[in-house]
Amino acid sequence: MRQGILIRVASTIALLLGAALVLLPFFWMISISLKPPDEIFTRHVSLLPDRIAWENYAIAVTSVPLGRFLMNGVIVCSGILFFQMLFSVPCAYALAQRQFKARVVIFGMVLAGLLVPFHVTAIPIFLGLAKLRLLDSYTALILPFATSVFGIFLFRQFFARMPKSLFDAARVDGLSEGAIVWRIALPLSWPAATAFAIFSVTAHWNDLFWPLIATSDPAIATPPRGILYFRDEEAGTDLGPLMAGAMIITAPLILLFLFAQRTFIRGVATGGLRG
Amino acid sequence: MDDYGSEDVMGFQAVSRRFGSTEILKDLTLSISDGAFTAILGPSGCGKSTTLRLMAGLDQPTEGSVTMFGRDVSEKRPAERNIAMVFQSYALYPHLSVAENIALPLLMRETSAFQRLPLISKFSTSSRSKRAGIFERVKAIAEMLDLGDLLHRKPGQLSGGQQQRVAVGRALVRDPTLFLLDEPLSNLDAKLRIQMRSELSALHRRTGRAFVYVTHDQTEAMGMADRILLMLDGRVIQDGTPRSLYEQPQNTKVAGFIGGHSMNFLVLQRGATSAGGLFAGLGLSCSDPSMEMTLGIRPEHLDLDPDGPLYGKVEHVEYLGGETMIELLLDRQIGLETGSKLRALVSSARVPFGLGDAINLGCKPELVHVFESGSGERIRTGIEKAA
Amino acid sequence: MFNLSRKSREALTDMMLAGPATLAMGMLIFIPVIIVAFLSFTDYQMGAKTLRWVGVDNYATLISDPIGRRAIVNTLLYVAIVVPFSIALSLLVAIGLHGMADWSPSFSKALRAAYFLPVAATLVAMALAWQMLLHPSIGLINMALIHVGLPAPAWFSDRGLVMYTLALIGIWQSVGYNMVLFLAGLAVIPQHLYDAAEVDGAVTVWDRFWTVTWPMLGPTTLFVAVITATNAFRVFETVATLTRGGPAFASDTLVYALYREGFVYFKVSYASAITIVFFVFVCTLTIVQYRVLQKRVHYT
Repeated sequence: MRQGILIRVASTIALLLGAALVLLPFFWMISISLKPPDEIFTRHVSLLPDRIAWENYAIAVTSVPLGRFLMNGVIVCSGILFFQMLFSVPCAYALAQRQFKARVVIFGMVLAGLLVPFHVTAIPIFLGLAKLRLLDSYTALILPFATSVFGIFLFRQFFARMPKSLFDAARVDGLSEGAIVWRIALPLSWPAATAFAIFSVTAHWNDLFWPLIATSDPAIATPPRGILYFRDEEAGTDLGPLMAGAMIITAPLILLFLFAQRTFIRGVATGGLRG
Repeated sequence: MDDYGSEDVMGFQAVSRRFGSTEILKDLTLSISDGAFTAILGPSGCGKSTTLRLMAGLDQPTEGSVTMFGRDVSEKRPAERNIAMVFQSYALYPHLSVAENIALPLLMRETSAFQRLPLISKFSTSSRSKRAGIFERVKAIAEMLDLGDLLHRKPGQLSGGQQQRVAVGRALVRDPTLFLLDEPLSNLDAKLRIQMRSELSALHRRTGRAFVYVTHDQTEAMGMADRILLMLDGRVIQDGTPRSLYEQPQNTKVAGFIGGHSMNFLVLQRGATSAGGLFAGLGLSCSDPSMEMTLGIRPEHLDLDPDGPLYGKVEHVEYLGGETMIELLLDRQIGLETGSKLRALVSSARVPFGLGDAINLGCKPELVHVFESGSGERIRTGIEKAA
Repeated sequence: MFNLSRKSREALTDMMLAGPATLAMGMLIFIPVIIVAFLSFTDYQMGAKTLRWVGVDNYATLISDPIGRRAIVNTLLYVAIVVPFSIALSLLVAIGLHGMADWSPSFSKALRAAYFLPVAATLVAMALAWQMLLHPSIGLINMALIHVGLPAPAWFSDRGLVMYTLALIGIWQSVGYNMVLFLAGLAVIPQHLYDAAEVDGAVTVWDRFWTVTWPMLGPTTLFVAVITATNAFRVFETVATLTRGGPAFASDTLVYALYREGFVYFKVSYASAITIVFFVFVCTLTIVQYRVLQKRVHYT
């Protein structure tokens, strides 16, 4: 019993220390984002600001179009999610609940597609978009992700477990196959849909690789791309506002995580299967 | 096969269905008469569910044609055939309320795709008035099925029997010409099953529509149906009233399948028809002594009779309450193969004997079925039965 | 509908359901993979009108050029550091939180959220935060080190140190994710195995870990290792934000090199060769992952 308590105390202290280390960058980011310049550039260690400089946030929002970046993030993420659902869900339904010759071939393509990271296809897609004169547009940011093999895979697994008779009943009731997809299959796979949505949105909100390649116009920069514009501009030497900007662009996902922890963790963990 | 004419609500002409190299249905021709309660009875894997799916239009025949009222409907989808189907698992939509489950077929049929769009459906007046009309009818159906208080529940919150009623309601609401029921009672417990049986029969009388009822349970088929199609191995092997299936099985397969206790089959040797043998003892005579025959006698038709032609030693006794099943090892006699056994169901009050005792059993000649040994077909001519 | 037969109508339906996604898969995955493989054997430059077949020249350059080799070695080094440390740390955290859940579930849950936070956060923003934390003059770490009289390293500009600094951030970012996977693995170990081990004489925490926990977590660990490695192979955001492969290519990695060569210097064919090398690494790992997945299909 004594040993048990000792272990509890020791492990709790270790876990608290670990958590403190993990949270340290967040803490420092917040701390700097609230410090006036003279407190940032100081020789002695000060964890917390003496005077809270809210103006850093005002400077961040006014010196670069942070609101615009956030809106771009919302447009790009929701556009991607919309098309991914529009294409993946019907395909997954056909693969799971319909009999047709090409089914095996298409499912084979899905499994093979899971092997290919986006980075591999970046060069040809860039060349194609350049040819179509579509670079530097929302289209360039959304189109390459219009379908998700992982989404097809995830939904197919879900649909395949649903009873066949449910879909037969819907056919007898007069639903077209399209209506079955959107009115029956999708509402019934809500857990898969939320997990997939969270996986997709976090992946594309946080992505830097493709926005860095496909866009050079700050007007359509996504949040991570935007914050780098901020840093690389003159204003970027203003560390308080820079950290305030970093806080602002990461806040949406952190808030989403804190309010929907279970769903969020499941979504991100599910996405891990895709690697 | 009887001639039902073009009054048939549904007909199959030489229908085959193959999945890859396995043939589920073999050259099937059948007809379902309007207004009748038809049961398709058979063991699992006999092709009865495939038959129902072909009727519904959920599946298409590899060969042959499916007709409704004499017209080919092979090209018609399920929704275009005006049929309703009740599934074994009920197949209710788990995310919709009882009312929405029942209303869905009507919504699909009577509103346009435009009127069903998420926002339009709320704000367009034409769509709203149509919806109101539909929900009036849904309510009426629900009242009739005792579901009035459950309209806003989800299927997951209902008992098995209530779910079953919702499934029936969903079938009923669109007033179909043909009801297809796929083992609808097999997920219910025994007590509820008997109750639902009479409810379904009542429903059939009230609607006057044709019902096709697929089941593997002969008591359901015998108890509810006007007519039974007995299927085996992708073929209909007998088509008739429940009574004719029991009293006049066309072959040993039907005879063996139908009936609460399986029929005794006694294989007779050549020349068994001569006097003094079992055949004559049962009061039968035959004009063609060269025929090889098998006798079929149901256990419930055998009775204790000191002069009976069937005699042997009691090998096994099973007490079943009011009745007792006894198993007899028959003694050698003319025409009978050695080692033949017989099971007989006799009133328990008449069992004063035990294992090893020798007893005699008798059977009325008209209750003895005679089949040809090779083909198993019922022999209709050349057999005389003493009255 | 027109006078199409039912078979044709059904075929049309299948096409409408599966067609768009199939077409998109072809256009966005399979054709690009073929093109990139093809380009890697040519001398194509962005904007060039012609291209010439050069065989394996690009691959030869990648292997023989010290900078190209650097990217491969750095990537492997990064993976080799991140994978074991991330697994060890996340396993420790998971075991600690799993035990804590027995006596204080809410406290355990709060700590789990804290450890998971880096996974949820936007990596580019957090990379900037790390830059501040490890800043040579105003960073909290260096100020603390100086304060206690230790030498203050130049985390991002020391060529010998920079990969380790990036790996540190990589570990920090992946621990929470792996912890979640390990917690799921721990949750399914039946308690009676621990009881049996205790009866058999495994009394200390240490004994029980080696007799029950570690063997039971075998498949999870393999799975976590593969996932961590695949993600580590793709390291890009931190490099692009913090070092741009510098100083003097000391922190160049495969994906960053492919970005730089292809999209900054427009040497498309060379970048394609880097892409293919990267793809071969990832493929090998992903095939291992499929093998592992077959044993753990029920995770979703």
